[in-house]
Amino acid sequence: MKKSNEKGFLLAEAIVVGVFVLSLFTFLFVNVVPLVGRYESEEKYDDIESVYNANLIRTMIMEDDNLASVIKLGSKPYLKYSPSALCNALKKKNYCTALLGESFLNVKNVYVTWYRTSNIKNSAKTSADFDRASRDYIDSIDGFTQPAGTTYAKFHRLIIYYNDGRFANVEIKVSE
Amino acid sequence: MKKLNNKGMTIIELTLSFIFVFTLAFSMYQLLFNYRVKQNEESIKAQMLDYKNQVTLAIQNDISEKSLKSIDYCTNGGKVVDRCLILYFNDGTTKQLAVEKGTKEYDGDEYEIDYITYGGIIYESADALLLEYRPNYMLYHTYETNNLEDDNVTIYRISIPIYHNDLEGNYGIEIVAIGYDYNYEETSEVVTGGTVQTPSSSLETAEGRTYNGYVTTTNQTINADSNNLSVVARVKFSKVSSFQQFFGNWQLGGSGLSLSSKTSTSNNKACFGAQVSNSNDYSSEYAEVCSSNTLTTGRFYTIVGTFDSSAKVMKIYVDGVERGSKSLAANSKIDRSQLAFAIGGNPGYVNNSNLFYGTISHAIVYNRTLPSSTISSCLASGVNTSCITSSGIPDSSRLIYENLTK
Repeated sequence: MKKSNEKGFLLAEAIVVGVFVLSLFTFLFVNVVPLVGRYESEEKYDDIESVYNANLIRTMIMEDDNLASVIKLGSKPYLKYSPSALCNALKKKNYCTALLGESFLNVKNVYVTWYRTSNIKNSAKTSADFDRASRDYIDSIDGFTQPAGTTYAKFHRLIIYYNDGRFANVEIKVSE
Repeated sequence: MKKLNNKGMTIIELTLSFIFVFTLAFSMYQLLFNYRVKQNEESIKAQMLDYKNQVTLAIQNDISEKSLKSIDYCTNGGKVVDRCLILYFNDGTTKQLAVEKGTKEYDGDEYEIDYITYGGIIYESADALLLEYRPNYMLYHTYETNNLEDDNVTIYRISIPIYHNDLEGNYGIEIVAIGYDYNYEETSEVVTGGTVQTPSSSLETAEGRTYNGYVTTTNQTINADSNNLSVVARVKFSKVSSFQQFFGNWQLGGSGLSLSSKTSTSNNKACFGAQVSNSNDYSSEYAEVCSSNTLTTGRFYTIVGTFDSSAKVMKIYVDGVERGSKSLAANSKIDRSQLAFAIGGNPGYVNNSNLFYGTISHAIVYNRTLPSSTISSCLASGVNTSCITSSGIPDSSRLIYENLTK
């Protein structure tokens, strides 16, 4: 009669199983936690207040006599303005300073970019003009296609970065 | 014969196994419990945001449609009413925004919000959502400027902080809005105080009458089907970047002048638009021609729109210079409107939107196509009606309002 093998697990077998189970948990953890983090950060993207506020900034820029120079991209993928830099570039400096300041919109940065966002998406990956939060936001926004009945060249895009970590983007018409 | 290993697990091995399994189970429980808490928080957050969005949208819609003039605290018998603001709009209407206090009070000055009212509409939160209001925070901050450079604007910030016991942070209503005080002139006052000339006998006597903040005239015959037409207005805008219909009789048919086009509502161009039908295929569409140049505030412009029924061409002139033309298909004609011309608004819009902001000194309709030579010599730097002649005699085929003053 053949003897039964009743020796139990070897240490090596136990370690292998332990490592396998640990790897499984690590894999789940690593994949689930960033999803939650991403969901939480996306709560700060394009909410109703930040979009309406972005519209105020768009209107201010469009009504300004210096519109053309402020939004002129040339060959650049984007322009980055701090509130003071933007207000200095606009004719209505006092109004701009008040609107973008802490008491009202509390803006950190304003980016002017092309209607399509592929250029700024590429730049954001490496440029020091973007911190991690702005990089994540730009990565998350749509590529945007041509608006119906017109050409995308007539539009640029404003990306507003608020000091409380919220973001919004709106298109801005630059020519007829 | 070799002995079997029948010793089983030692007490230490057993204990270690239990600890391991317990730790694993506890970790899983913690993880699931955290997610359950998070799910509950997100559910409350969603309701909070839904509530906030409803109120915000109602207010923002009014601000964009009616143009905010100013915000002030509500008063009763000369005393300021707590938790209540009144919003004044440039179309003359007002709306009240108020937080109604519930019965439950918390420590300090915090208490339950019963509901928020805006413009007489009650916005109640979901039953399960107990909103806390922390006074005296129905604030509005302002930045005012009378600096000409800044167009006399005021920046307002409405802040209604709302909290929830189970959440951190403020989920309140925060609205930043720009108030434009244009010293809005009711066009009814403008016209009734001005000189109204009587057109030819074939046309009715022009009389202004008040209608929802702008003036309609009694004449309906000047824009009969297929007629040649010239519409003239001398205007000064106190606000731009919005669609303003300031002289016309748009209603199914009709035509008129506007700042910006119907489709590009903030491009600040002078536009002449008309409802045009084609007797060939019975199609009907809104056609318009806009100036190549943009207009601004603070100065008068003389704007002329013409329609030539023979050449089927619409044109727009600004200060005597042709700034755009549009050719229409053969057999096109401007449809007759069911309404008379209105000064300062669109008579076909019951909700009174697209109102004009500024001053109109002259508003004239000719039932002929003024030639460009006449427009360049008589309607360049002002309105010289005596210069506008037909076959050498002063033109009387017109409906005219001039020297309009408040």
